[in-house]
Amino acid sequence: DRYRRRGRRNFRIAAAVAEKGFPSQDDVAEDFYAVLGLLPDATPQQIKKAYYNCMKACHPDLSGNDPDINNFCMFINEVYAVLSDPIQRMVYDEIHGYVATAINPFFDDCASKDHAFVDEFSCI
Amino acid sequence: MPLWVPVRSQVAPAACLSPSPEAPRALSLFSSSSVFPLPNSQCLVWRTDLLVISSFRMAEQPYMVASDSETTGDDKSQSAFHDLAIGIEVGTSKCSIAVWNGAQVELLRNTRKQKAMRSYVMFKDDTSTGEVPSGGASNKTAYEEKEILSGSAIFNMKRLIGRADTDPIVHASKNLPFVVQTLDIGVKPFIAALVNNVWRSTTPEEVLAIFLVELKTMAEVQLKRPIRNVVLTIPVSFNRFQQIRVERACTMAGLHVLRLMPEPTAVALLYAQQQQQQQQSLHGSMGSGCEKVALIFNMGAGYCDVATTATAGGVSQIKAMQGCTLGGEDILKNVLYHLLPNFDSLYSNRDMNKIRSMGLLRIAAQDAIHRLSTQSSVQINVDLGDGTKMQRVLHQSEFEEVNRNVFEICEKLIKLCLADSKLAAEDINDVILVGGCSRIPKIRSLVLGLCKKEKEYEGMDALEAAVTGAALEGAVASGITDPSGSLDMLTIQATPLSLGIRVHGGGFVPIIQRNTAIPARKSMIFTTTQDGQTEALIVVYEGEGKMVEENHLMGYFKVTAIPLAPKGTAEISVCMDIDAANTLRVFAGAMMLGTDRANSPFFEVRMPTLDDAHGWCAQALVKTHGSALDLTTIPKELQPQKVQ
Repeated sequence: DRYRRRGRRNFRIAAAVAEKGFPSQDDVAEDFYAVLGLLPDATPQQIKKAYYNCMKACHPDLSGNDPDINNFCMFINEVYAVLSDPIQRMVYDEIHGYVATAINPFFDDCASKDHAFVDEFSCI
Repeated sequence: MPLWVPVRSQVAPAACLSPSPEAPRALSLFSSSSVFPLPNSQCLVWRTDLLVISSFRMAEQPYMVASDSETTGDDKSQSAFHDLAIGIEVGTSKCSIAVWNGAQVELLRNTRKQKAMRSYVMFKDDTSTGEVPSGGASNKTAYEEKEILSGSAIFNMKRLIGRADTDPIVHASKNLPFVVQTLDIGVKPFIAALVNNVWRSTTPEEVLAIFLVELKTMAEVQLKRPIRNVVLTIPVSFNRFQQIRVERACTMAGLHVLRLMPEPTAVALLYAQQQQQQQQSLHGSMGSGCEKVALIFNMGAGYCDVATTATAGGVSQIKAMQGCTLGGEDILKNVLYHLLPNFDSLYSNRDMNKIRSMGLLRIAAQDAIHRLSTQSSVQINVDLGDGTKMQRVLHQSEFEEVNRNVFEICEKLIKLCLADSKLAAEDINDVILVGGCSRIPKIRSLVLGLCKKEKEYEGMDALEAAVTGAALEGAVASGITDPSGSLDMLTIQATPLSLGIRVHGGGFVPIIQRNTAIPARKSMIFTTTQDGQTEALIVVYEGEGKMVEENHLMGYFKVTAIPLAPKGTAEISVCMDIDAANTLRVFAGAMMLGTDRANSPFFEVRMPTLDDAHGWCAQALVKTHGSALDLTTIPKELQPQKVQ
């Protein structure tokens, strides 16, 4: 059952990427940098360190071979596979608007609203 | 200017989880006794054997270790190390056991004080004790190499286990003193040992199981506790079929496999520990950022493995692995054929005298090879007993010439491994050479040369590194902690072989690429090749060949309820996942047209599902179904981009 949900999500993202070249809400909800506790400008060293720390905290070898732990770990491995590869990371950054030339999404009407970020002023 | 706060980053990933503290429950034969009875090993052999046979009938289920009763909570308090897994390395030629003793890893010795024990099982007919074979770890009798080569002992089981009789390695094993028969039809080879002048049949798994029982008994006597969990090292090139056979042998021996660990990854874990300790002593704090990259070259009697690892802060990440069935046995064979070009015809009839002289020649050749590691030439003097004497000098240059193909394959493996890990020689900090064959000068210079290093890494025993790493992993995976932090370790394993399915035309499409970090989950979308096709065969293979027949068939099943549609439009999702215990599951089904919803329940299949005769199955499938149930790939841009 869990698989099916995941399968579907893959599919939705795939469809979204193929159709619009734009991330869906679902996709943004899984911010790869945030999962590892990083900011999008993290250096490769910082990414690696965060990955190792994360694996030490949640690898099934250390925390028991539970399906949920395995699933989370699979996701982290996937995240790291993308962020540790310069080309895949560039593509990911591009899609998610993390490139150096990106405009502040709060001032950019074209950008989709993003759950991961909070505009402090609008909160006040 | 607004401040951007990535809110989610404040949630530590670990906090999202509530890892179950419950460790895998140990199953124990001797669970309720506080004083462990030293068992009569023979009695134990057959007892565990009998217990397990019933679980064999249940086929595809994971092999649970049969037991009288499960461990209760009371038992756990008896000893902190009650469940501690021991590390075992069963090599083609030698074998060793190691265990975490509370402060460090210790290798066990047999009664002959050997840490490296010869891997073999001697079959003898002795009516007084029953027909009980005994192995190289036995504390009763030490057989001499001559006796081991008499036809009554089976050895090299690591080269034979899980292979079909069409395998070239099985064919090459026909020059061994015991019988290896092949019928070339893709089934288990027939092997037999000479008992009372009769060739008595056995199987590689049975031989390995008997041997493991001896090791288990030996460890139980020394550690004064029942042994249940093991971390066993295996060659990188072992496919899942071979791994299952090894697990089955363990089950027969009453052992539960906690992890099957590719040998170089065990070495990598030991390296990670050494690096961490070094950094701690240098900086006084937890070894932090400084990353080290090592290339590990492991070559024993049966297999050659190469791996690259990056390590920092006690984490060992396997970047890439390559392996093949190549080792001392091949080198020995090359030398034998060089010394005696008509070797095959001489020994084809297998009478007792021929077997004896073949054994003598093997011993002489092996000894010569060992001595050539330190000498530039050796004198071979051997009386083959049948009137022929061999007297000659073997030069190192001659030795290197006859083994040129071996060195070429080693070189290829290292280059492939470096390319896979996207590393140049300059990126490598250390070159670690382990295994018996790493003592051969030509191999050392070759590996060091390719890595542009003057010296190899010091501080590791070439013959003990893998088993030490396995024992470390055993302690880590058993949940043992150490106040000094020396068990604050983790190996991030990678899967050494690609996994994928057959597509139309017999091509192999990998879904999980080799060297993917595990646990891993990947999925791909396929489509039909026929108009109105409602069913599709998912035929799962493991390997690196572009065509399926070059790879290992793991199993197959049929996806049904594909919606009626012209060819190339229906979508079939195939997802594969490997968990941390290296279990492979394939999950597949058809999608409703134009949607992302399943058309009917998906199929979940644990692989491999096959047992014997796997060579036949693929041919039979093609013969019966042709291409009617074939699938094909869809363009890359329509594939799911990532697994979440």
